[in-house]
Amino acid sequence: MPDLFVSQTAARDPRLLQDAGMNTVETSTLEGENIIDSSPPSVSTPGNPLHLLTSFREMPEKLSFETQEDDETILLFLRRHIITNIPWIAMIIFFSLLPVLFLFGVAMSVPPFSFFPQSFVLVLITFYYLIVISIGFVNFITWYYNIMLLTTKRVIDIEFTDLVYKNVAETKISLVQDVSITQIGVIPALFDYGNVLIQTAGSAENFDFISIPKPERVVAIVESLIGKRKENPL
Amino acid sequence: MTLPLSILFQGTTLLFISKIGVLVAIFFFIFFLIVVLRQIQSMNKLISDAGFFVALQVFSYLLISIAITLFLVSIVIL
Repeated sequence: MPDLFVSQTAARDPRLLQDAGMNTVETSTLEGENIIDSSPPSVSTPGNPLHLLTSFREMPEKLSFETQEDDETILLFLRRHIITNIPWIAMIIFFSLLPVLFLFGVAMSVPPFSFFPQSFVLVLITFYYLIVISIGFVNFITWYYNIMLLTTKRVIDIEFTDLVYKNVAETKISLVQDVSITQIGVIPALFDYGNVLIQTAGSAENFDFISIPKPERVVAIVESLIGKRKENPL
Repeated sequence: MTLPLSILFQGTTLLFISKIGVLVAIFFFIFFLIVVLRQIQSMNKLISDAGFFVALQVFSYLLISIAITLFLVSIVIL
């Protein structure tokens, strides 16, 4: 009995694999079915370089991960949209300006500020700014290390939160059943970002990519990989 | 009768407790920054991109250096 939830290799779009840098050779069988023979790329295709604030990149250049196989190509590199960082950036700016009032109070000899010894003020202000910068830095690396990858073989979600929680979840493309978009609100519509839910077969974990840029494009690429879409989105 | 805050801050006991409190806080903050650095190094092994992870490591080393300097300076000036 055929497994309904496993996409056939022949269902993959050959143009997608070609764009992914894989050699695709179509061979006809006696039944007239086309089988795509995918092999590692013989010539490196020009990729797109990542920069520090990249949140969406197709075919990223110079990117690899620990468990990457030799014949596996990264098709999509995703992070949350850069605009989702605005709340903590605003908070950092607010807390950066707060000591100005404190120093103003010390300068104007307004109680209780005037009672702090000068050496205390110097150390406390320096320590305070060190904490503010560190909080900003931790927020940045939390955003920076929450990465979603779509390869020719797998979907990988690297989750990194609160500095101490790290989770790497992955599933094979063949186990992906369905993919859907949720885009709620004016800001996501304005900046073109939303949530993409990738549903997998059986007891495998579903993947919920939160606030990723160009969600429709991501869905188009995933659908093409699982054989739900005929036209090539790339 | 309540004492003004200035008299409390000039009191040697309260001042000593405040100094110790600040030094302990900076000390634990250095540990926090070391945890951040370790996590960055751990993520660097998991996935590698075009050198930005190295920049993040350098920045966390810089923060740790500033925190240690502040700790030493605090011992001297407080």
